[in-house]
Amino acid sequence: MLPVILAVLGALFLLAPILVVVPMSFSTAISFAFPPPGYWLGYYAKYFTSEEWLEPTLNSLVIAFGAMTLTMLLVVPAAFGYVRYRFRGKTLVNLLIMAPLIVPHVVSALAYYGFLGRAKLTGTLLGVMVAHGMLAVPVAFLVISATLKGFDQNLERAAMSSGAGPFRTFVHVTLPVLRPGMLVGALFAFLSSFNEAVVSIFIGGRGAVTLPKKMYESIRLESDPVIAVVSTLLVSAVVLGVLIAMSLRRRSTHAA
Amino acid sequence: MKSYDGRVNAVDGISLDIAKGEFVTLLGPSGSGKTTTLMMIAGFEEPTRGVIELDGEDLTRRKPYERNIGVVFQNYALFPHMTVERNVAFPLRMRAFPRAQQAERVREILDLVGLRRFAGKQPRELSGGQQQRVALARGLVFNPDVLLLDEPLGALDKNLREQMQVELKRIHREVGITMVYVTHDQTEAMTMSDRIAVFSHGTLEQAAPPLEVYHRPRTRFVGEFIGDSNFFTGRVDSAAPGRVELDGLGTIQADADACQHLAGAPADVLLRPERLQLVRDGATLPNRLAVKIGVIVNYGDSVLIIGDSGGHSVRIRIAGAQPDAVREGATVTVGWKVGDEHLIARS
Repeated sequence: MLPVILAVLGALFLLAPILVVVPMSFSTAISFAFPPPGYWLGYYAKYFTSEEWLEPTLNSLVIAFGAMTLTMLLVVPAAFGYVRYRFRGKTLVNLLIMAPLIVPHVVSALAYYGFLGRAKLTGTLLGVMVAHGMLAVPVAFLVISATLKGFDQNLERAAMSSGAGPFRTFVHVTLPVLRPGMLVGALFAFLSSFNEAVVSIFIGGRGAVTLPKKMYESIRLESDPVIAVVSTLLVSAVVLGVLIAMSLRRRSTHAA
Repeated sequence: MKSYDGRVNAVDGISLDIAKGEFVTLLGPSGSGKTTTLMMIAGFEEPTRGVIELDGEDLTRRKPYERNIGVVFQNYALFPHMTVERNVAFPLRMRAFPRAQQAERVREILDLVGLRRFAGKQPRELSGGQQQRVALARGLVFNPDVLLLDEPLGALDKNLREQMQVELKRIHREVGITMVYVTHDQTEAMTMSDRIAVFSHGTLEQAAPPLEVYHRPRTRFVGEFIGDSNFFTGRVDSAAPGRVELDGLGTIQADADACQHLAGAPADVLLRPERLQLVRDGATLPNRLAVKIGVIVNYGDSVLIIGDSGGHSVRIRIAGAQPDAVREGATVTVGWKVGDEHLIARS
């Protein structure tokens, strides 16, 4: 019984600050106040009608989508190479792929700032996309290489002896069987970009304001309660994403 | 011949002719090269040297999908995202069978394996035995020249395995297709095969019909791997025909013809445990040994006696119930007829 109580307390301690944001988003107060003096949907209306908030939201979506695509283009071939072949320096390659996870974001951000600045990409959606695409590599690689390790290569052999060449084997068998794992990897890459603040602040500039960057600026300058709305929506989106990932996982383990 | 890393040869010097419609089993312990051989026939492994021919046509450099060979894997390898019907239809789609005939052919083959009712199911909804039948149907549906089976019954429990053995034999008879079957289970090999090819350390030890492999193994390894055995070492007498001097056990009478080929040479003498008989008073068996009984294993329909004779372990199998004279610690006399033994030249 005691372990259960401790676990619940731990979860509450972690979750409470996030959950507090939810009632605050419905609050009538002109700044952050808890408990809220009254409830209304005014700030939701403000969020959904103000250009000032919708544009960063759209930017974030576009960047996250582009970053996800870039990450997948890099990670899928890399994971196949890493899982299926033996080569010299394999451990080193793994370490390099995982590096963005270990290097502090501020350091990465500074490095991207210098690098992308030279390419005249700071302050552009493309620049943030590229940086986010790199940062999402480790998490996507972990998910996809794990999926690939669990893949039974006899399925490909069975397809080949059925008369399918390498391309048709990949299209009809390998890809459909790996799809749930791939989608989970892509989803994580998307969320990693959508939630990322530090690099966005460094290289987003005025031209590519993302939602987390806008929130940061808004907190610093005006403590606008719309932030509580955005936070609530963001948390909901992430929870939804994780639920989707979990159901995909379950389906893929059932299939295997 | 196939070698990995250029150092150890996984298989070497294997030469095996398989007749059309034959059921050949590649038998051997794990690591003996039987699966590697199968994978080379399928085209998943390329031999470093040597050729694989089918009907006089060289297949060696052909890709698996350019060969007309079906494969059934131990873990079934059914496509999890397709129904039973689509799994079985897959080779027909890939090999561009006329669309109109596809559905009929799938139905036909599902009838053959008794799974017509399950056509719409997902593979994971089926039992292990049913999944293996689907794999079998998928391997057979496109009328391959050869069907390869890689330990297909290895994952099933004993009763189901025996049932599937019978089933496989029936399908083999009905379809008349050439089957090459890999297993490490000697009983499976004995009951199903037209011919058994015994592998050890990457070489082919013997390829012969089951009873010949059992009664006249070409090497000591084959004799020990298949069935229960007693092996004694000795030397064939070059002066007296049919006499073999066993190390530490005296002289025995053996088949004179077999001895002629081996006159004066060292030999391994194989005596199957069921060929040894308890000698009652007045029996006239030319060869006798006094055996002190160590362990008795009663199977109900037979009794296995493990004893000792002059420092050599001796195994005796007696059909029927346990005789009164057979008690642990007792000494009995066992004997055998001339010709019950099998001689193998020792190198």
